[in-house]
Amino acid sequence: MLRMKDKVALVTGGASGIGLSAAQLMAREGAKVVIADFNVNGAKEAAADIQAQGGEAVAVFVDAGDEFSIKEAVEFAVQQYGKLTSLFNNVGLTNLKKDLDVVNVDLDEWDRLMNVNLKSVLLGCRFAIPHMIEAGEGSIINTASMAGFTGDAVRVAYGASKAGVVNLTKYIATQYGKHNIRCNAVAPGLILTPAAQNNMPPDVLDMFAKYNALPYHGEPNDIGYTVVFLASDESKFITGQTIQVEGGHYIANPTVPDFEEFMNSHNTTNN
Amino acid sequence: MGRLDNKVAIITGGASGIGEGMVDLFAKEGAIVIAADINEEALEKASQKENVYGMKLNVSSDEDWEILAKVVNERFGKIDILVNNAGISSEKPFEEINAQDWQKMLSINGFGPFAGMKHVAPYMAAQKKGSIVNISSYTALIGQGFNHYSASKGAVRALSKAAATTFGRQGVRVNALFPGIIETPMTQALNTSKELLDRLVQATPLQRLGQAIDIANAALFLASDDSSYITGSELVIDGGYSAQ
Repeated sequence: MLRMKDKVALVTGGASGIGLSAAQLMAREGAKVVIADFNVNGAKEAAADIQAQGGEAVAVFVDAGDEFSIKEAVEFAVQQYGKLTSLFNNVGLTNLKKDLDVVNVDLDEWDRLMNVNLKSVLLGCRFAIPHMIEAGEGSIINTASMAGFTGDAVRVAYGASKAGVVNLTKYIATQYGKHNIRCNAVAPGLILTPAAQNNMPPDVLDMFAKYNALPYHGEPNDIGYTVVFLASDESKFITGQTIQVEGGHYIANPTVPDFEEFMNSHNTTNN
Repeated sequence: MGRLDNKVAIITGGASGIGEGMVDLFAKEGAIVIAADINEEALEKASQKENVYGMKLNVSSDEDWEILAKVVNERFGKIDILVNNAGISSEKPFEEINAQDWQKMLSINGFGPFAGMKHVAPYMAAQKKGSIVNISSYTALIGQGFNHYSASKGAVRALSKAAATTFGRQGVRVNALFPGIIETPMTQALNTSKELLDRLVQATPLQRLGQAIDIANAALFLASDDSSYITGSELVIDGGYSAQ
């Protein structure tokens, strides 16, 4: 049985990576999917692929830094399929060159990341919620990040914007639950998206693997499946939550793997 | 195609309430399900279902767990999933709780899941894959009745994180569910005051109580390969009650 039959979903940042995975999996589960992306050609290709596999999808341009553009994408989705029941606010930016520590972060970049990573979530919800109230149901999923829970040496704007997403999620859940609208977030750790694979040297990937509790990396579908669960009625009593999908990277004291290594080498010496 | 095809799952407290719903859902999704329960009468009923095998288990018995894990592994060749769902509840006010009450509560709700993981995880580790789902409670997260029940569920929360760290390298995932108030025979028997329930519903963003299927669906998600990269995670299923 299809898990998202009769749902109409809008996915921002849906042309690649996590957004693409979610769009594909939602379509496979019977949802009609509107793929919104700044890269509108990529969105069109993604929609065509879904159509070719027998799913239902269309593409639309969105600039997540622009209020009017977000409104247009939401209205397009409703015009296209008659309603909107599911919104995946997934678009986000990071910048390793300008988003540094507190003393050195570029302030224009801080504003840009807050705008695209946090305010776009507010705006997507602001324009989608009236349509969801009309539909009598709604499930909103936001892409947060484990960077929203922990400190790091750099990327202070990114981390702060994602922490904002975690709490904004609770506000939306609290304010619109009575309209049968749920709002949850997913917090990925390192996920092997094409972007991550292109930008991270193998040594860095190995480092992440070492500190994962699980002996493997995450892939876009790990987030996609979580989004399908949250968008479907299977999670109809879950709201206000941020689901951590991170291989157990952040659950233990980071010295645990090093300590194990030390103990193992110590035992070997004794034997 | 089912989401749990070819999986072998043990569900404790599987003969009634939330556990029974899980057993039915997991079997429907293609798993071989061992409904482990202390209630022998209910077990007979469970055993009549397709692909469901009722087995007697006292979760607070180390020996019972050791035998159950061994028998299941011998009979079905492996164990893929463990749902530590069995538990008892109590609304006894804290000033009336005595040492015996405390020990019984912690023995069933705390030691039970611990012993289950202790005896089942090695079989999962042998195949480098497994998923354990522990049922905690929203009372482990917020002050909602000061008693031994919430303490036992706090133990489940801490155990789940620790076990996720311990067993992760062996490919065994451990996650916890935190149900809010769910309509079951157990909660209906406890919450005699309809007025109190009404007030809780009013204070819940989604304006309703949870149903057994809500917990079963979340357990299914965490048990299945859809959640391969999720471990040590906490999934609260309370209609938003504790998010405000």
